[in-house]
Amino acid sequence: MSTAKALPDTTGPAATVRQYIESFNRGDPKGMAMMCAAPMSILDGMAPHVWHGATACEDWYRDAMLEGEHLSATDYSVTLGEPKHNNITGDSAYVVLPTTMSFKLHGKGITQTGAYFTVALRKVDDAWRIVSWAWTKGAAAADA
Amino acid sequence: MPDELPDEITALIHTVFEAFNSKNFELMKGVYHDDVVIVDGFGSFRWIGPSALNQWWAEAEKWAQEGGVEKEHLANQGILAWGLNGNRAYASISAVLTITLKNGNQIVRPGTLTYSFARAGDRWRAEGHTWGRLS
Repeated sequence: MSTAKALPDTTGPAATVRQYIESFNRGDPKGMAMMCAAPMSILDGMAPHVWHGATACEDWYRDAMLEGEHLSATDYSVTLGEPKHNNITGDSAYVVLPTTMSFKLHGKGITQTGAYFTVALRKVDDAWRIVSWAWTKGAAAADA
Repeated sequence: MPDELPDEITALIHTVFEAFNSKNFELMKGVYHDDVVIVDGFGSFRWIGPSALNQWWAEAEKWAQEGGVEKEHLANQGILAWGLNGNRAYASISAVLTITLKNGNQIVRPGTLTYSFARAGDRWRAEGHTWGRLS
């Protein structure tokens, strides 16, 4: 029986998704864009709901920050759970992760639970890159 | 924002389930714009562009045939969240896909269907969907 622990996945599709979200949490749109292929597509609960093309990643981030300013929302942070799916077929992959998003609205903590982040990826130059993601909104509630 | 999605969008969502369950591609095509993005949990996982819907449907048929699928049924469990902003809309739907194999076995897969819609003129149409498998 082996007592060795499984090494963390640092190069697979789910690792790319985690790096993308870590960049978002750092407020680093360039880091996010590095995890994306072009063209890529985004489907989000925030209007206008769809971003598509070579700069979709940066365009979405800009719009998300503008929306945050408009609503007085700050300090966005997304936490990913363990993947429900992390499937690879050839040079394509599909990852579904439960997510929790927290932010401050007019200074008060809000947590959105029960959301899902569904991501399609392609292998580009031996690295997994995001070609599409969709956010399935969960329920938001004020922090206790 | 209004209290609920416009009836036309709700009708499109119902049509998706009806078209999928009756394997009526012509009915399904009527839901979508010409240029769409689809993400699903099989095959190449993403299809984009004017032929995306045809390609996705064809790959789904091939997947079902190769997997010994007798029939599929997608049950609408209700809208989880939605948004409406001018000519754009969003809806996420809880759904359960039941796959009946030719050997009689059944596979039950809960998931989420996330849609975006755009209105062109007076008509709402879907710009694409993403299926998020939860089991």
